[in-house]
This record gives sequence, C-alpha cells and structure tokens, in this order.
Amino acid sequence: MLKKKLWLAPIFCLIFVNSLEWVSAETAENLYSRGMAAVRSGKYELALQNFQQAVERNGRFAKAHAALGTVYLQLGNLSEAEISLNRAVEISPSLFQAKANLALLYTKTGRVGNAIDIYQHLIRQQPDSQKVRLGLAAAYQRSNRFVEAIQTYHESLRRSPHLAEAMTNLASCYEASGDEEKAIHYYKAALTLKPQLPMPNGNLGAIYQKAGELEKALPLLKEAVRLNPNFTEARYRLGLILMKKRDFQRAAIAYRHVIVQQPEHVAAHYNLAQTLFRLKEVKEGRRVMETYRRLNAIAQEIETRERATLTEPSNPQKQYQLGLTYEKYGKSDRALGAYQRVLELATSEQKPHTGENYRVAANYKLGVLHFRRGNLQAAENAYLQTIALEPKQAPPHAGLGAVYYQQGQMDKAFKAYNDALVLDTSLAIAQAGLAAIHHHRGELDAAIQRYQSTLRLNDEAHYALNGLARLYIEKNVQIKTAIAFAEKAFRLAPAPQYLQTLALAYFQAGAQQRALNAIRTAIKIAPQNRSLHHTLAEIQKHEKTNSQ
Amino acid sequence: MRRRTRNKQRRDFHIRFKHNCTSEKSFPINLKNYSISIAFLALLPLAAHASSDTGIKFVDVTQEAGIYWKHVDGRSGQKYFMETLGSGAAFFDYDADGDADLYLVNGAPLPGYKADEIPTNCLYQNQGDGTFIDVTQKAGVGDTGYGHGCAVGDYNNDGYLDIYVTNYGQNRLYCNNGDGTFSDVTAVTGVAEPKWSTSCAFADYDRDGYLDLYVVNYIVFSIEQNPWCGLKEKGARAYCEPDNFPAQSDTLFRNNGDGTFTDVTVPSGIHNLNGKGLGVVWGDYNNDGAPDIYIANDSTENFLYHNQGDGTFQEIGFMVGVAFSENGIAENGMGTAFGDWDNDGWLELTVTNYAQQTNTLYQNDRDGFFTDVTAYTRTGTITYPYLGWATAFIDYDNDSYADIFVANGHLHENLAELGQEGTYGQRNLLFQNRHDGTFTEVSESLGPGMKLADVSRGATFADYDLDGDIDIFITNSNTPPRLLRNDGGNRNNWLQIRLLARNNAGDAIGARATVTTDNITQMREVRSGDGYLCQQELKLHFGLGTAEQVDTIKVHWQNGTEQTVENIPANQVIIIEEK
Repeated sequence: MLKKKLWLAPIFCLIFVNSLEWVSAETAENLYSRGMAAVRSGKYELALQNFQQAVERNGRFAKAHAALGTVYLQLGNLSEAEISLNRAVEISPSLFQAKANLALLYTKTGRVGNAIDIYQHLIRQQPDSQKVRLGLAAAYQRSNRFVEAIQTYHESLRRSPHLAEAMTNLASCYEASGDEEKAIHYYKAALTLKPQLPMPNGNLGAIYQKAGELEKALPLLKEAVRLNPNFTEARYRLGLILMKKRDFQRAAIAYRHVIVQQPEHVAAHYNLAQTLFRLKEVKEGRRVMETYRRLNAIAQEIETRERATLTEPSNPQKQYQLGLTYEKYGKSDRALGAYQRVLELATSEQKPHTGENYRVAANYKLGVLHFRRGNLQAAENAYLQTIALEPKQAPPHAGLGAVYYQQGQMDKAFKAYNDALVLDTSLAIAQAGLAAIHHHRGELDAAIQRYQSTLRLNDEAHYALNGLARLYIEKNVQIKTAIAFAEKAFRLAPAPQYLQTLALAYFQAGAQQRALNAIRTAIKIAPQNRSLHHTLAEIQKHEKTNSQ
Repeated sequence: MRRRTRNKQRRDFHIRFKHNCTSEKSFPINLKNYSISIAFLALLPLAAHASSDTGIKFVDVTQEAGIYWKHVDGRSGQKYFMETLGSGAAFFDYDADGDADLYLVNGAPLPGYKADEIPTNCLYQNQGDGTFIDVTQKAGVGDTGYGHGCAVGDYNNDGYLDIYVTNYGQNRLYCNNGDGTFSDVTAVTGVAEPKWSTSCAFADYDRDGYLDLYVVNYIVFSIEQNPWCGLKEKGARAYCEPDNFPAQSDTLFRNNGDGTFTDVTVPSGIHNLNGKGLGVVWGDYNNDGAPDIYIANDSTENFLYHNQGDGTFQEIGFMVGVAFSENGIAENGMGTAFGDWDNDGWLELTVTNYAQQTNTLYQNDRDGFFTDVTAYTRTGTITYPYLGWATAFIDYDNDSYADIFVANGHLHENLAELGQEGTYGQRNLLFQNRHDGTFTEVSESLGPGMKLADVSRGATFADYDLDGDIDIFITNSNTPPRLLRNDGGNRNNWLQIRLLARNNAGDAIGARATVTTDNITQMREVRSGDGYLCQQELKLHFGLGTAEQVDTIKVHWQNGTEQTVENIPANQVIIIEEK
C-alpha cells in the first residue's frame, strides 16, 4: 500500500569518536586507533574487526563499544549496533556520541519516542550540536509530530541557513501537515542551495504530479531519477505521467524498474498491469494483476492490523497480532519493533486482555527473531526473560539451547535442550538439538539415534533429515539414504545448507556433476555464504585432481 | 430572475392509462395513444448569460416549500452500523402531472431508541406553486422499515412510475395505481430482498421492453452481534469499519414481463462476494447500446459489469481501470455517477470516497479503458477532508457543460474524542466545469444554501419549480433535509426533454438523447437510481448557454432505434414520443 510520502533526506550523520583517550589496555587502544583510521578511509569491515578485537581486549572500553556499534549501524546490522551502543552507554553514561547514535538507531527502528527522549537530553547537554538538533527534528518527523519537527528544523536553519537537506525535510514536514504552499517554497529553496539533491526534485515533482501539473512535474521527476536512479517513488510518479501522456511503453519500463528496485511496490504492480492491458499484452497483464492482488491483500492485512493498534494504542494484544502479521510476511525488522512495543505495554502486573500473557509470548518471539538474525546475545536475553516469566514452557528452553549451541557453549546447550524435553518429550527440535551436540562432540552413533528419535516424532523435521544425512556422509554409510534425506529436507525447506548436504552426498556417491550443480544452486541462493564457496572449491579441486 | 407559479390544472398533459398493480399478472398497455409527439410547454424567453459570472445562488427553501419531514436514524448510542448510511430520496412525477414530486426514505427506531412516533417514509406532492403537501397516508407508501435507498421506474409498463425501497430488512416495491395511491406488491413480484440493501436502480438490461432491477447489498450485520469499536482506553465508541463484516453479493432481478421478477444474480454473472456495495449507476459506457453497471463498494474494489448483450455480465473494473484509485488502492466508495462532462459522447465516471481519500474522476478513453483524471481535473485535493456520499453530473449554470455536485458529511459525531480530524457536519461541494478539462469548486460563491455544514447523505435533482434550472434536494442524517432552490441558473438558456417510449418500457429508462447547438453536442441518459440511495427526475435537462435553439435532438431508444428532431427553440419542456 502506498503510504503518505515522507521521503527523508539523508541527514542522519553517524557520529564517531575522533579523539583518542587513554585506556588501560594499550593494545585495545591501538586496535581502536586502527579502527578509526579504517572508518576514515571507508573500510568499515576492517574497522569492525579492529573494534571487535578492541572490546575483546578490554571489555570496559566504552569508546570501542560505541565505535563498534556505530560501524554496525553504518553496515545496517541494527541488532548488534544496539547491543554495542547500549554497552557503551552502560559503561560510560555520559558518552555523548554513543547516546546520539543510539537515538539515531531508535529513530531508524521506529522507536522514535525513545529517540526523542535521548535527543532532548543531549540537547540540554550540548545546545549547540546541530547534529543532535537535526536528529531530534528527524525523530519528530518520523513520529508525525510535524509542528515540533518544523520548529526544530527552523532552529537548525537559523544556525546554519545553508543546510539543503534540512530544508528538504522541513519542506517534507510542511507537505505532510498539509501546507503545500510552504512545502513548495522550501523544496525550491533547497534546490537553489543544492540543485543536485534528488529529494527536493522528486518531492516537488510529486507535488506537481499529484496536483495534475504534469509539465512542471515532468522535468523535476526526470532530474530526481537521473540524480538517483534508485529513487523509486520519483520513478513511479514518472510512470504515472507517462501513462497520462499515453506513452504506455515507457510507462511500463518505468514501473518495471520500480518493481525491480522494490518488488513489493503494490502501486507499481497495479499500474504496470493497467499499462499492459492498454498495450494489449493481456496475458502478461493478468499475471501482473495477480501479483498485485497478492501484494495488495498482504498490504491490506498489515494496514488493518496497524489501524487496530492506532485505535487501541495501549492494547498489547493488538501489537502482538501486528507483530505476527509482520513476521508472516517476512518483515522481521517491523516485527521486532512490534514485539518490543508489546513489552512496553504489557507490564507484568497487567492482566492480559484474553488471559494470554503477551509479555511471555513477545519475549519468546523476540528470541526467535534475534536468533534468526544471528543476534545471539539478544536472543539469549529474550529467551531467559521468557523462561523467567514462564518456566514451564518447553520451546524457550529449546530456543536457548540453540543459542548456546551457536555460541559453542555445548554443556549449557545440552542442559537447555534436556530441560525442554523434560517439559515436553515430544519436542522434536530439542531432540534434534541434542543430536547436533552429540555430533559436535563426535558421538556419532548417539547423534544418529537422537536424529532418528526426532524423525519418529516428526518425519518432516527437515533439520533432522539434514543432520542425519550429514552423519551418514561423514561415516560414509547409507549414501543413497543421505541423498534422499537431503533432497527431502530441501523440498520441505529450501535452505542452501540442505543443498550443500546434497552436494556432499552426491560427491561422496561419485556424482560430481550433480554435486557441482547442487552447490552452485546453493550459492545462487546464498552468495555470501563462505562455507558454500569452500565446498564448491573442494569439489572442483577434487575434480581437477581426478582429470589430471 | 423570475420565478413562476402555475395553475395546477395546466400541468395535466399526460394521458392516463389503465393499470393493474395488484393482480399477480399485470399486462401493460403500451403508450400508443399519445397524440402529442412534441409538446411545447413553459416557453421562457430569458436572456442568455455566459457561464463565467453566473451570479447563481442556491437558497434553502425547505420549510417555505412545506417540507417538515425529518430523517430518523434510530440511534441510541449503541453505534449500530446502519445508522451511518442515512437515507435517500426520489424526485419523480408520481401523479403524471408534469412536475417533480418527492419521495423520502426514513430510518426506524433501533434498540434503545425512544420515540413518540414511528418514523415513516414520506411522499410529498408538488403543488406546482413551489410548495409540496404530504400525501403519504393517502398514497400508502409510508414504509416503516429501516430504509436506505429508492429508485423509480415503470416496472409494469402501465404509464405510472413505481417505487422500490431498500431496507435493512425486507425491501418494498410499491406499484403506482395511477389514482394517487400505491400498492405494496413486494411479495407478488418476488423482490423482497432479505439482505441489507442500499442503493438500487431499474434498467432494461436484456432489452426485452421490461425494466429489470439491480439491488446493491452491503454487508452481513446483525443488531444482536454489534461489536464494540473505537478507543477502548478512552471509552470512545465508534461505528465499526466495514472490514469487520463480511460482504454480501448484490442481486439482479430480471423482469418476467408478467408482473413478477426472477433472481438472476448467479446466471447473469453478477454474483460476487467481494463487494460491500453502496452506490450504483447504470450507463452505456462503451456505446454499444446495452446498459452496463458500475458499483461503488465500501473498502473493496469497485465493479464495472460489462453487459455482454446475451443476458450476462462480465466484471471488468480492474482491467479497464475503474476498480481502484490511481495508486491501486481500494477506497471507501460511497456514491457514483456517470456523465459526459467533456461532451465527447462518452460517459465518464465519478466515485465519492471516505474522508482522507479524494473522490475519483475517471475519464472515458473511448477505447474501452478509463483514466483516473482526478488530479488533472482539479477535483481531488479539495475533497480530501470531506466524506463524500451522493454525487451527480448536473449543469447547474446551464452553460452546456456538466458540473459535479457532491454531498458530504462524516460518520462520527465524536471525531475529536476518537482522535480523528474533520468535522461531523460538512459543507457540500459543487465543481464548476471550466470547459478546459478542469473544474473549480465554487460552492462558497453559490449562496447560503451551499454553505451549510450538514451531515448530508443523499441528493436528488430536478427542476421542481419548472423555472429552467436544476434544483437540489439533499437528505441529511438524523436531521431535516434541505431543498436548495437554484436562483439564477436559468439566466442561460435550457431545454428539458421528457422521453416517452412506446415500443419499450414507457418511462424510457436507458434511452439516450443527444442535443446539438452551434458547436456543442451534449448527451444524457434517462436513468433510474443513480448517485447514492437516490433517484433523479427522469426528465432530461440540457443547459444551452447562449444558444437560442437546438439544432438537432437525436434520441437513441432502448431497443436501438434512433429518432431525430430538429430546430427546437430553447427554454421549454418538450416531450418526444417514440415513433
């Protein structure tokens, strides 16, 4: 669903700590310095490694934690960023930069209330900080508090009148609050300062497009797209104008471009279908129409849930249902936000609306989501919270087992899985967890037995099928069964790791080409997965040796 | 401007026909005995005026006209959903005396409502002197059901217009006995639709000479299961949104020609459980001679049923671009209307929507498709704060170009408590056609009647005082209605045409007249039940600007035959009888 436009100009500036400070561990400081140098040269991956090592050397090194969090934030790993920034603030509550970046993170993750609190506190500390003022304005803007956002942007512009990005956001606030005249004025002012900014071009073009002033809109939208080819909304509106001019071919190209950039863009699908019907490409039009209908149904479901939270903003049940809906459609960032809001709303004293304890449920969901995103520390905390609130539920124990397993804490993992099985003997995932631990410890027969038990509980437990296949490959027994298990596992859940298992099984069976095909398919699914590349290299190396 | 009063007897130009409403089989007598092919009436040699400076005022003359009726929605604080829809009205000439009478649909008490008297529907007879008298009791049309919509049509071809009324509960068909009374023929005709019906409209979709009936149905709602919606924390109760309730399919009744109807919803292809219908309009959008149907649905996609000419329809709203907004969003469609606002001979379409949505105007591309031109015609942004209901293309200033009227009013009387923007009472809007593909909203300049901030729902249109310009009657939720007299619209020239078919259904519903003056050609269709819950007068009104005569009038009758009349002086009512 196309939401009311709020295209923010990118004025969120990450604040790095530039000054070096004496710390007890010199090695940590050196690492920190190298990290800062890497940041300055834009080598964020390298910086990440340096800062990680720095905090390993000195766990109380607040600025290293802050810098680590900032790099995570820069790289889009928001969960890890939050942990590091919070750790920095915990160690050094007055660390301005960490707090500012934490506020920025809260803004980005929709927790604007928290962000505003921090920014307001920081402004009192440093009234002259433009970055903080702009961050506060942006947070107001994100929370639709346009009056305060406008006031704060004006304050910033009084201090620095040439900030074209702030001018753009000010215009955007005026637009969102219905003052189109002022919006146009400030977009134009921003363009006078910086004509090469895509946002004011695109936003101003959109205003004219919506007002039906096509000739004014067209050059602005074209310029916005030229300056930023990924500016999907500007390109979409360009498509609308081309359609009005009955240039259906070029309109279709524009909409297709938008869909490539944003595959869930409902309106682009709708208009592409409309365009194709007019081009007499009825079959393709119908196909796009069906995609539109599917996406639109999802958007409507989400919108309905979101609206429900607006009509009952203090009801944790509504937030929880919103979280489930986000999760259902793979919007895990938003789901995390919703579950976190459940925790804010569902105080332990509160009797839940339907008798269900939403605090427990939300904590468990947070554990699952954090685990899926590889944020193990946050997952562990969430599971522990869940267990503290409701110790008699098996799944959180199993979830905790998985976290410990991933962290390499096998004894703790073993205990957690066993705790889960004590509470629920039919919990297949806990059985499989124990099997994996046995496997890790080299107790292959015990592992096989556990996986078999898992499959007796649930013959579609793909993780157990995969685990068992791996064990057979490792023991070089029952390779045909291993192939069948890996195939079934992939059919049940198309994970690249299952294809990797299949490749290894084929390889073991001497079917090199099949092995290569399987691993290459896996790499197509997950091109960043180093383990897959390693397997491919191994298979190729072996093939080369054989051919020689 | 001169307002005219007339002698009641002068208006009686119709020839009476035999009729039989109460018998199970009613065989109509065709209009063969008409002796007048063109009747010149009410010649008004008024000076012509340009459309730019109209000086037109709409004046509230409700009480002056003798209308003291009040709508009752039966509210008791329980927020029953039917309270929100309001009720409609019909301008129609029930007594065949040449002027527009008025039928008003009313709500009914709901649980918890306390009333001294039972509200009823009401029929007002036009006295021909600018006033009306209540003839409900005599006419026998005072239904006490929870009423919403109405439409008129001569379903039994006896020469008199009958009334269909939609209710939350059983609908009613009142057969006009031709003597000032009506008979309730709901049971014998088989059109007692048990679903929650809203708008309705007659048309002869299979062109067999008998009017069929389309009934729009809304949602499944029961008084016993009325969910609590709103802000629970604040205790601020609101009417629920339609998302909370399942949709119901509309119903198409085929006229059997013997005084009964058959439900053909499924075989005709109308059955559709995805629409929560409120507005309906029949119109031949593709000029193939067969009437098509457009349905405005609330929160679900709108439907365009293309008449395939073989008794079936195909829903093509998405494919031709009239199902959603420009951005592919299903809006809360309320009312709808067809009209040729650009005078190109093809019907355009408008839909009113909820507040914080714009109303939508679709242009007919003349190739089977429509383009959303809301923004480009300047009819969108201004409608954003308003919750629109009835709408119609009317030429209020007689400049030869159709303008757009929109009735507005919110659902919630406690908007502030609910944290929502807007006001409960809202002024209505009138978009003046600028002749250049754009419109200007001019209601502020149209006198006190257009500045009223009522909770409007329905609107119907007629030249009730026969002075040559279109007057507006507006129904308001739980309050009295408004009759807005158009003072000054007749400064431009005009022509009104009453079509009388004799080889088809006599009321000529579905027939089309195309009027050419100088370089302008205008087209209107005789239509039953368009807009929202309402019925316009069947007589066609054409503004002629400064033209003092019409060069040609081409009539396309429902059965496909055409007829041309030439050189007709302006400023009169004429009757064209089918040859």
